[in-house]
Formats: sequence, structure tokens, C-alpha cells
Amino acid sequence: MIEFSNIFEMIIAAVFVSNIILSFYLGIDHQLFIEKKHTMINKRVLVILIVLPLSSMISFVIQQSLLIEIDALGEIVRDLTYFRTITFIVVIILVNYIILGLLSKFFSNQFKNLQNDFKGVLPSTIVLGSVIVITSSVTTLLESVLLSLVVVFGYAFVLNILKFIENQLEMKVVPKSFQGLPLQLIILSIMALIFSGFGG
Amino acid sequence: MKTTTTKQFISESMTQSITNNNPVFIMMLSIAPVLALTNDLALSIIAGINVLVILVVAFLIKRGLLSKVPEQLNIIVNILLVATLVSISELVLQVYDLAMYDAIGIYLPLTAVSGMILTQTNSKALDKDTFKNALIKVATQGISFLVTLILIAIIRSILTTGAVRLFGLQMRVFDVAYSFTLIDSPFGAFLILSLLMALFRNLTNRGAKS
Repeated sequence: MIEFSNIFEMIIAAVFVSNIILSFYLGIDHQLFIEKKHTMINKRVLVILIVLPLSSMISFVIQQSLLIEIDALGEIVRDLTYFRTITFIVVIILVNYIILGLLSKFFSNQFKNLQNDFKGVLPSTIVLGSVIVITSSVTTLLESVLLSLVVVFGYAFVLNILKFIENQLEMKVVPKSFQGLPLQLIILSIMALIFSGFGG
Repeated sequence: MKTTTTKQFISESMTQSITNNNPVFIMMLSIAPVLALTNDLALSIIAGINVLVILVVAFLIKRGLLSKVPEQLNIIVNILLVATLVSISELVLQVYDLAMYDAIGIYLPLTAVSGMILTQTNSKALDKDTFKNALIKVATQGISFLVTLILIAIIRSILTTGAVRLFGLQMRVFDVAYSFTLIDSPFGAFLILSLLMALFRNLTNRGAKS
């Protein structure tokens, strides 16, 4: 859960203190992590930027109106949270395919190469995990949209720093067994240590 | 004769799953729960058993009832199938141990998009195997994931507290004064997984491309 009381705290929390990669370990996708080019990474981030706010918004509305009902005294009248996982997954799949359909219909040439990225996002932990974290952290619809945008920014921020450091290390000699994910995990561990300092 | 062959196949499959096809150290699947839950041995065991049971049941349903699903719908059907099983396991854990359910948190629903389960249920190589052999391969992958989780959890637990704790039992390895509590944090999770991954690759002679 990401804790905040105003928009400034929300930005600091979602980008640094409770970063989605460094605190929740989400989005550590093997295929994305072996990618060297920044453009490919940013393409995936763009897809998440489209899918996540919409999915979070719809999931938040469903959670507040259908899954949980609280009466005037603050007592839970209806609790269907055990349907949460399957509901959120259906929402993500629908949002993903509707956006993909609309983009391929109206912008067929420009968005043709994004098709694989949309399909790649589906079985990834980043969207489902972020939707669960966001819906349990916010109290209003606007907060859910804002927090999802900040979460995606935090994800892109860490991913780009990681790739930048990795590219800098390309000229250095790295032991064979540390090449790839082990080296990235060491970079992430140092970043996690630094970013945790923002928590005070 | 037939029993010996099956035993040999199980043994070979288990060895392959733990060494060359290790889901965490070699295939790098389901990294999120490995990083998040290995700070507690009991959580790791519950999460590992949960993945093993869901993996086997999803395989049985997929093989028995959903073998004729069209190629385009395969990934969606698999995700929905696993999500349904995850919802059931969430309910069971809520009834059995609510504190454990809360401690596992978002990583239980995340099993629905677990790379390890989806890789196994989508595998075309498994479709070509006989039912029994495919079931053995799937089960050994699940057991390998469980064993890997337990191994990482034991190492992190010893480094963090100097002892291994499990359901109220405790085995002290060294005094708590020498413990390295930072291993309990995300820094420690990334660092220990990285070092173990490199060590495992070194021991099995697998490079970065694997």
C-alpha cells in the first residue's frame, strides 16, 4: 500500500519511497530487462501508461460499487473481495483488447508495432500488481488516475536509470555469471538502498 | 520394469528442474514473489505450495478440458483459468490462516500472472509428451520452485536474524549480534538473489544467455 496525504507526498512515495519496482518488486520482466535499447523500453512504458490508468479507474469503481458496500455507520454490508483477482484480470484483459482494437482501427500504421507490447503486458505482474496496490491505496477516482500516472513515471524512471548504468558498464569487464539479470539486480539493490532514504 | 522407468524419469526430471531448468535461477520466472516473500520461511513454504498446487491443477484442467482452445485465445483462457484457481486458493487461505493471507498480501493474487505457471500451461513441448510424463515435468517444476524459495528463505533468515524460524520452532546458527538486518529489506532481497543466481550459474556452467 502506498501511503500519502497530499499530491506532493504521493509523487515522492510512488517515485522514490514505495517505487513499484524497488519496494513491490513488480515489473521485473525478463524480456524487458534483457532489452538494451531505451526506445523499446519506453514503448512498453507507453503501453502501460495507456492501460494502467484506465484499468485502475474501472477497477476502483467496480471495487467501490460492487465488491464492497459500506453503510452509513461504517459497517461492511457486502464484502465480495474474494472476487477481486478475477474481476481485475477481466478488466485488464478487456481494457487491453479494446484499446488495441481501437488503435489498430484508427491508427493502423503507427500502432501496428505496439501490438506485441500490448500482448506482452497481459501476463506481466506490473499491471495487475499496480492495479491492486493503487485500488487499496486511494479513496477517490481522481486519486486512482493520478497515482497510476505517477506509478508509471516511477517505473519508467527506475528502468531508464537502470539501463543507463548498465550501458555505462558495458565497457567494463563483468564476470560471465554476473552478466544480465544478476548485475541488474545488484544495481537495483543499490538503488533500493538510496531510494529508501527518501522515507526519512 | 515399468516402475523403475517411471522412477528414473521422475529422478531425471527432478534433477533437470532443480539444475538446468531451474525456474528462478536459470529461467528467471516469478521473480516478484521470490524477492518479496523469502524474508520469512513460513511465507515462502505457503507460497511455494500454493504455486505447486495451482500449477498441477491448471495443467490437469488444461489438458483434460481445454485442449481444443484456439491459438489466439490460449493466453486469455490460461490467465482466466489460473485466476479462478488463485481466487479459490485465496478463499482457502483466508479460512485456514487469515494472518498468513494478510502477510502474503498482493503476491497471492499475482500468482494469476505468474510467469512460471503460464509458461508451463502454454508450453507446446508439454503437449507432445504423454499425459504422465507431462504431469511429472510440471510437478517437478513446481517442486523445484518450492525448493528454491525455501533455500533463499533459509539463507536470508540466517543472515538477518542468525537463526531459522518455522511455525514457532527455532534453530540458532550464530548470535543475533552478528546478524545483518539489512538483508530483510529490498536491498537485501535484490542482493541475495543476485549473488545466488550468479553462484548457481557458476556451478551449473550457465552463462548470461541462458
